[in-house]
Amino acid sequence: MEELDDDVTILMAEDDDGHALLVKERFQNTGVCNPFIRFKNGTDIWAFLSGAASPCIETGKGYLLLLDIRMPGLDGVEVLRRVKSDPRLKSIPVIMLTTTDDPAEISVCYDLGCNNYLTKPVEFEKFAEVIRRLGLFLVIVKVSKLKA
Amino acid sequence: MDIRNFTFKKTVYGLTVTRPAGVLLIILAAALGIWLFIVATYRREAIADISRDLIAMNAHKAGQVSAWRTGRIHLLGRVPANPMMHEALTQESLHPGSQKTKLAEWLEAFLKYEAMPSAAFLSVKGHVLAASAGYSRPTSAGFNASFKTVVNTGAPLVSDLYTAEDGTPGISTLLPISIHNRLFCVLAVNINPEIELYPLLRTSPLLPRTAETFLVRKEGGSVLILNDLAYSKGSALKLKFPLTEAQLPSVKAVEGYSGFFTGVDYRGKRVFSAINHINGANWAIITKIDRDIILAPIRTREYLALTLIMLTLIIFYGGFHIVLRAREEAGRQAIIRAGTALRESEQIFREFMEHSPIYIFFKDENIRALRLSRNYEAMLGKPLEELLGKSMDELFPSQLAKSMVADDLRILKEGKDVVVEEEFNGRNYRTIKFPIHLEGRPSYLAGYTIDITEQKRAQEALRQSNILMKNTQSLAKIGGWEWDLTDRTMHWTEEAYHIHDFLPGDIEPNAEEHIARSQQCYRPEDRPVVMAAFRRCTETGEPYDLEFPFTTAKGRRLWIRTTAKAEWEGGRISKVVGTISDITGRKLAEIETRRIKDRLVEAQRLARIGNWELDLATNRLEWSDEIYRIFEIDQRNFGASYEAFLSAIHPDDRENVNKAYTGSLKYKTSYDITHRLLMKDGRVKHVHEQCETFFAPDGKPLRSIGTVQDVTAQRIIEDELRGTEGRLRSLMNSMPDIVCFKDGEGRWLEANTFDLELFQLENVDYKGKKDSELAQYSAFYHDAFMACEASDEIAWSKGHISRGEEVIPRPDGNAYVFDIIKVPIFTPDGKRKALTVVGRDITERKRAETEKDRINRDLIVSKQEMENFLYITTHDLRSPLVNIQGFSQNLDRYIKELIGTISRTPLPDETRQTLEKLTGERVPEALAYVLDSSRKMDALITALLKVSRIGRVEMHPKAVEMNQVLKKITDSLRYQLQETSGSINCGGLPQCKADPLAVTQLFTNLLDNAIKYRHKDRALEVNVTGVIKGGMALYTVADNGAGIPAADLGRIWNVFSQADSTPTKSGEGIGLPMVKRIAEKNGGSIWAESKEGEGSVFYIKLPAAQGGGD
Repeated sequence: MEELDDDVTILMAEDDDGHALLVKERFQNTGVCNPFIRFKNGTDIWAFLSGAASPCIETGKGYLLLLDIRMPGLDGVEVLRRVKSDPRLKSIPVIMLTTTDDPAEISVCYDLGCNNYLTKPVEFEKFAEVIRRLGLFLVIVKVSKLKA
Repeated sequence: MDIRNFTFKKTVYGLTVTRPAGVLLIILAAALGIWLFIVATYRREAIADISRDLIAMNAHKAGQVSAWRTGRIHLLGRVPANPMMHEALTQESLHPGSQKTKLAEWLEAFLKYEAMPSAAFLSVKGHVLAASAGYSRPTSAGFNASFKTVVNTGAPLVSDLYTAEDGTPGISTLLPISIHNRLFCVLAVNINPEIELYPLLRTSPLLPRTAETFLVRKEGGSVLILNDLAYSKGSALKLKFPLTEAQLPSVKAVEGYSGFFTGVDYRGKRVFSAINHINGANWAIITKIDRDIILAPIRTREYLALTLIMLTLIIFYGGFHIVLRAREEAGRQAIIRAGTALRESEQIFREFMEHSPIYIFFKDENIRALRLSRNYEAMLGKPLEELLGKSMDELFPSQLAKSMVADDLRILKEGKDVVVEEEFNGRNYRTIKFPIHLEGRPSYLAGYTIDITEQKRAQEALRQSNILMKNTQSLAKIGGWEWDLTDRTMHWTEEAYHIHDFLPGDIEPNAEEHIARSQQCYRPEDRPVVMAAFRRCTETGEPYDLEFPFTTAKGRRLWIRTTAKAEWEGGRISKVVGTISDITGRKLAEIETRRIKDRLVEAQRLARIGNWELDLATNRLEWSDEIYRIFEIDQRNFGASYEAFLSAIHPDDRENVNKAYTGSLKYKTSYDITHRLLMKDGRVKHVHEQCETFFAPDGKPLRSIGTVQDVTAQRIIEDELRGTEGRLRSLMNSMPDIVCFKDGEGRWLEANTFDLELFQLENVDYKGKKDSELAQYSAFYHDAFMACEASDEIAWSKGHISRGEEVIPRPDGNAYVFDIIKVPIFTPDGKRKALTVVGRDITERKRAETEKDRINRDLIVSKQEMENFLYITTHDLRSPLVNIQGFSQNLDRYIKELIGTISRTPLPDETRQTLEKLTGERVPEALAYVLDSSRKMDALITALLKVSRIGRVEMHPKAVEMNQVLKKITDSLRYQLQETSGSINCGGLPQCKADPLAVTQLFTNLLDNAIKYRHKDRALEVNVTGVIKGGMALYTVADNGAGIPAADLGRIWNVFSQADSTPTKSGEGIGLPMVKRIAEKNGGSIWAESKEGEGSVFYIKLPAAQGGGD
């Protein structure tokens, strides 16, 4: 399994604890040991990303975003939108993790610029595939360090 | 003033006459000039000669004097050489006074020898050493000075003149004698200037008598005359003149001047003088001559010359003058004569100009009036004095005047005579202008103007009347002719020729020719008639007036009227005058009129309409034929009259008709009534009568005209129509719908009761009014009327049936909806003719519709809500499922781990068995159920989501090319078809209008199902066909599959219902419900027919695509 860039911190927004745990387990099973920060809703992750909360996003570090769509407060789509609109944040790769497979919803997310879209429940193989692909993606593109 | 004016003058007569005084003065001036010049030159010469002579003379004299002086000294020079004297002197020197006598003797002898008056030896100091007898030593200063000089210089000299004791002038020669080289004494020899010197000064006879030579010397501030002057005796050494008298030659001389000098001498006379200086002495010698005396002869000669010149000139002038005068005189005489003659002719001319009836003018080279006849005053309206000396342009500034002046100048320059005709102040003038040349140059422009107004007017009048006659004849197409019997001449007017189409030049001037040529134009059968009439007239004077057809020389076919009458003179016929006129027009009109009249009668007969005319003045009534026929009255037996007319009328209508007619007379209107006639046999006829009466300006009726038409037949038809109309109307009024007829302008023609009641117009006279006008009658419906008119307009502009709903409010507060149909009717040429309006009360229906719409909307809303609800629910349901599945999987892994651990851990067998059973069997089994169930749930939820999604997705209907869609679907199912050896056949499918994706999904599902539920025993065959039916596209998907049991047919559309034998089938059971949902969402429908074991047919109805796609 490819390692993600050591610097990359994985940020996940997921309101359901069970889902969060599952995802985390999956990451670990694929050999990804990067730092993992879990947020319970969109508002919190946005606060982190926008720098309103502390601790918050740090310059010089790479991040990966995992967003659930259906969340109280700011939903995943909104966070995605904001991230991709922010010049500082828009280079952060985003994976949408969600239960919905509504094609309309999916296309909206891709339109907004998400890098990948995974439907839950996440099959192990699929998940691994995505991670692998992501690793490739990261190798090719190289997650740019967050600029100040 | 210049010379010319000085010497010549122009006389009154313009002659140039010399001015004597002027000429004389000029001549004198010239003569004087010449003379002065001569004089000056001559005098100058003379003076030059004289001066030369004088200077020569004076120089000569000066030389003489000098020579004398030198001679004197020379003379005495011998003395010292005399040894005796020398001895004596030596002795004297040694022994002064010893020799005195000796010396004296010697002196005496010397003197005698030399003939000198006296002499003496003087000591150095001046003492007399020895002297001759009679010697007296001069004592004058001059002598002393000279003496001192001699002593000092040791040179002999002649002393200056001095005054001796006796007062006479004297002069001495002084000779210094040296003894032993030492000056011892001076020999002084007195000279008597009188004898010695002065004579030298005597002027030569060469010079004139008045010449004088004298010596002078400076003495202090004056000049001393040294000898006796001619005119001043005793002047020698006595006469002095102050040096201030610069005019004196003597003064000039002592100032050092030498040469010629013109001055004034001591007498005050002007003198010429020559001045020289004597060498060795301070004397100046002057020779002077009286100027006057010198010049006198010159002067004389001058005067002589002058006189001579003057004389000559005077003679010359005199002669010239005389000649001129003579000529002048002759000229003057001539002039006087001419003047007299001129005055006389001038007088005549003036008189003439004064009284001339014609306008005469003389203008100068600048076209200014010099002479004008008196009558110009009247013509131009200004007094003659004002007019003279000015040009026309100056008097009456205008463009015309300017051009006139320019023309005149041109005439003058060209030198030609010109005749012009002009108009001025309303009168016509003929002007003849000609230049007058004097001495070959045009000097005057003369001319005369005659007032030709009257003449012109007469000419014009004549011309006009000629034209008028010609035009009259031409317009009236009448030509005149005159046959003069006395001189047998024939005269035709222009029009006469024209009618014949002859040119006046074509016919010989004689009468026979004219007559013969004219005859040719008549028809052969008419010629004798004409000739006979003509002859009768010439013989008996019987006039004639005949009309004939006529063919002109050019072949025009005319009708002509020829008339003639005779003119008598002295009992005999002198002339026959006649006319020939082209009456073609009239004739043709006559023929036409007759034809029209015939036609009219025919027409009246056919139309059964007759006309009558009543002359109210004479009470004469005229009926056309048709009226007689209508009234069935015999024309022959019965005269037309108003009473007869009335009697034919039906008794019941008589009153009305009479009233109508008299009313029209009274109110001056025309009338138009239809009434009945009662025939003798009891038949009733209906006639339609129109009448119009004409009145005089004072209101009196003049005549009436009218028509009567038999309208019995129409009447019957009308009655029938009326009956029909009545029935129709009652039908109309019984209908509970709006029925309204309007005309092309929107005016109401007819409306049924319902309409009137609806719009509150029951008591209103609505006919002929427009909606906008009717709006006034009902405040409530005012807007409705206006809206009505507007929608009428729309119907008109559409040009065909227009149907729409109109809301009409009712006073009870409700609004009623009417389904209004408006049909515009046009005339054949497209103009608006009429509009029918029909309307049905559809309020109830509307209400029902509204209710239905509301219910539908509610349904949609709740459906929408439900779908959303479904969406959210299914989504939220999914979430826990994920956990269940995920953690179940985890559990699965953990159990495996546990198994592994257990196997590796030493355990008591029992424990191991129990644990193995649990971990190997029980737990996995349980987990399997859990996982399985959770998967099932997931599938269900997914299916539900799909269904709900369909409801949420918006359809974008487009024209769908169904053939392509099916092809695509077939391609995508290729693999499965191959697997199952199935086939899908598509016929030509019509397009539908639906959401392409949805439709694709729909058919995909159906075909998928077909494959899924194929018959196990045979290969699947699916046929897809489609037709257009009633605006919808109907597709059929027919398969030979397993079919659906009849009992299940109803349920197949329900969510989650599936056919029973399902082990091989995977599916969520939502395919068909989704298909139904899609069909309905796209405005279509779907239903199925099936026979178990044979196959199924699915019918899908979708809206058809319109035309070539949207």
